[in-house]
Amino acid sequence: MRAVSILAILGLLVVPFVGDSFMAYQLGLYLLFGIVGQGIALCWGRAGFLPLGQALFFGIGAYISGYALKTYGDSYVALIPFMLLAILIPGILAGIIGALVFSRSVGSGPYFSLITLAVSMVGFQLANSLEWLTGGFNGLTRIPGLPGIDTYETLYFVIVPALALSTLLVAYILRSPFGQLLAAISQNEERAQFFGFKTSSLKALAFGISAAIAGFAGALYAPHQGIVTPQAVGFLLSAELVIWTAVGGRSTLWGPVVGAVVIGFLASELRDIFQYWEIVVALVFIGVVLKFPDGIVGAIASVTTRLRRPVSTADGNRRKQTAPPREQVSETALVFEDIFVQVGPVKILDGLTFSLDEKNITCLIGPNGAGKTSVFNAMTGKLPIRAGNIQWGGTSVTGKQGFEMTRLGIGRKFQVPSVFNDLTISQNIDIAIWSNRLRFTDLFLTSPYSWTSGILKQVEDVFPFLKVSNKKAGDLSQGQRQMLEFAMTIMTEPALLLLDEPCAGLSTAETHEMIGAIEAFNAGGDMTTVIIEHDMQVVERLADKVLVMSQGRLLAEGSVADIKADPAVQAVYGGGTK
Amino acid sequence: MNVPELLSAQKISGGYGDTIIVRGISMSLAGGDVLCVTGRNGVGKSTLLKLIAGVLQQSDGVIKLAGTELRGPAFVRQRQGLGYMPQVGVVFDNLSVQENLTLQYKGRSLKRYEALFASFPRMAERLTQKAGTLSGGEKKILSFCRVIAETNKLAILDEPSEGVQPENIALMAEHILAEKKNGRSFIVAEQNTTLIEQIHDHVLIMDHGEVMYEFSCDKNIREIINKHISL
Repeated sequence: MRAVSILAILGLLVVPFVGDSFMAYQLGLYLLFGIVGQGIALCWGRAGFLPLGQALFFGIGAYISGYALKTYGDSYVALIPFMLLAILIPGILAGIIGALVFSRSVGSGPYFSLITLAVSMVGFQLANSLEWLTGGFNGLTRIPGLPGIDTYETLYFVIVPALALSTLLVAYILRSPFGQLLAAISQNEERAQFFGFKTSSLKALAFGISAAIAGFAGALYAPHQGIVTPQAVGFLLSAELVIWTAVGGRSTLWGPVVGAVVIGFLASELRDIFQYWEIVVALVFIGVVLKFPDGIVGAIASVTTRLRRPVSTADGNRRKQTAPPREQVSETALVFEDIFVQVGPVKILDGLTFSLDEKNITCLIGPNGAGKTSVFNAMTGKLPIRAGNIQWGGTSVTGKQGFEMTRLGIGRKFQVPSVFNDLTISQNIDIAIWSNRLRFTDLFLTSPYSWTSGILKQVEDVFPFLKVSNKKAGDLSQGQRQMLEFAMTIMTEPALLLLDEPCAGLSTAETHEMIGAIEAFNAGGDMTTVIIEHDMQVVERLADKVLVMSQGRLLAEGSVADIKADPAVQAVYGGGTK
Repeated sequence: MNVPELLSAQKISGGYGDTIIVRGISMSLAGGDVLCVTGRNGVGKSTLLKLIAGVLQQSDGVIKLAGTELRGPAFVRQRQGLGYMPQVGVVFDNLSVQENLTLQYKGRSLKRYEALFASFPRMAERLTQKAGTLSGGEKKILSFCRVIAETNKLAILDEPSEGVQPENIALMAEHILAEKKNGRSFIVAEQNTTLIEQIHDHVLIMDHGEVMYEFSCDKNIREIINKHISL
């Protein structure tokens, strides 16, 4: 990949000598759009959310740069601070928009895209009407070129290094722990939160970076065109940027650039010879997106990777350094006080009260629909609590979100196995190791990839399939994903471990293995474990204490023998084994 | 066997994309028979079921239902007389329980569910509730009811017991056996030996995408399965 990038940049540098300088001038514009596209690809292809108003940030960069060039056009000393503002202002603006929108809800539904679209339209209106600032409808005109640089002859040699810089930046981000977390978020944001990551902030940061990249391209657009009009912030350009990115390949580094260049030249050639050229461009777009959902570059890349030999599995050797220690949680009493949860007309938890204060294993049993999983959901911010109080370690944690609870030492394994399917086993393990350890600066360093922890070895001994580290988690069977998720949760070294049917989907033999694993990891006596389970064999082997729920309430608690003898329990739940 | 063959599969192979998971499995099933597929995780049970149901297309082999070749995507095979209950993603979360149950029927009548509601009264109680608010086990039961109430010749169930309380698993077995009496056939992927014991006519133990061991009605089924799986 690196070789391809270097060749591409070198190739671009010789274009003016092979072709003519007008062609290079035209190409320069498309390359600038390609830079914006790289930012879109970071958001859309990697982090899984689609920004529909990226021209806004491009345009803001262009306006700031245009203003600076018109006012201080002859001095780089005066210009450079403005150029930095042309990058920073769009970046910060997008960061704020992202933080506001993403903190509202998990996922990347259409709301974010629609809001960015609306913001871009507002930007267009403002640019049109604030004549004193933007020049209104006619825009900022007669913007001079960069000092000492001829717009038609030499500006191209500024744009190509700018593209190289943007490529380098995006490539670095994609390979950094931050990039890997973005991939994880796009696959299963909720799971990422339960590793203690505040996903809304990470997404906002990615959006901010993409906007800063757009502003950077915009800053060069102003001297390149000599004019900046409201079109530069508007919806049409925003949509075109997305189309170029899609055609070229949204999951690739060079796709957006290829898309912008190919469609750019196609449009400019067709425009002169064919009246309905836009239809042809539209057909190309539809054809490429239907036939090659990963775009032109994505399609080529998948062919070359197929031809190449598989990468060696030596990746396990990268973990050489002991990971920094986590903060230890000392107070570990869990108390539910009269908790009520209701969704629509359905009472899910109906005055549930219990407390757990010993570091041992509690099994939570009860009929289907008794509210067992809801206990976990209420504790981890997934269900609104109407009344009551949950205490953890002596402080109230009612209404805290999943990532906050993880940071307080609570690990959770979901009922449906939740892992990051498109990441390899090894990358999934990375995220578990990083949980509650990764600081802000670590996001952009490569050192976290070398982290290992003592518990990894233990986990690999118990689940040998984890050593096939370059297999994709999505290619594992349901049961193996169950085990992978259990292993990842254990690796966060929680003080309170919540296991929701850890043996569901496991064969009898595997159920025994899982029981053994749970026993082994609890043997140290430094963890409180709560297990939801239907298989009485699991309960009998593991439970120090049993809580029985029915209709959203606690029906009984006690030892396995107590529970089995309790007529009230027998009336609703008999239990059995696989 | 006197009973005519209902399903036959000849050397079917397939998987996800270029990854072949099921390798050349052949089987045949008579009307009114229950075939249980078991084996460790990751051996290809779900994939085998998906290949028959048409969720995945086989890369090789021929599948016939009552003499007609099964081809094409799942909805086509459904119309050819095949029901399928997937392992995960079993209900439409944003539809009510009632809508989930009556979606495919013109009259939207719940009449066909009377016997099932008698066994699983919780379903009848929750008809107006969105299926997404059901618990994991209840979703499985809902999906089970939907497949059982269909009138096809062969139902394919992928781990119906997962997350379901033992009492309800026993009720599931009763319904499967009742349908079997009516001449319906089942292919059930299961890890729950108790359920297999109750319903099976034939058991197929898989390993590495192939059939490792095959047997019919046996009293020592638990021993046989444990012997072959706990390697």
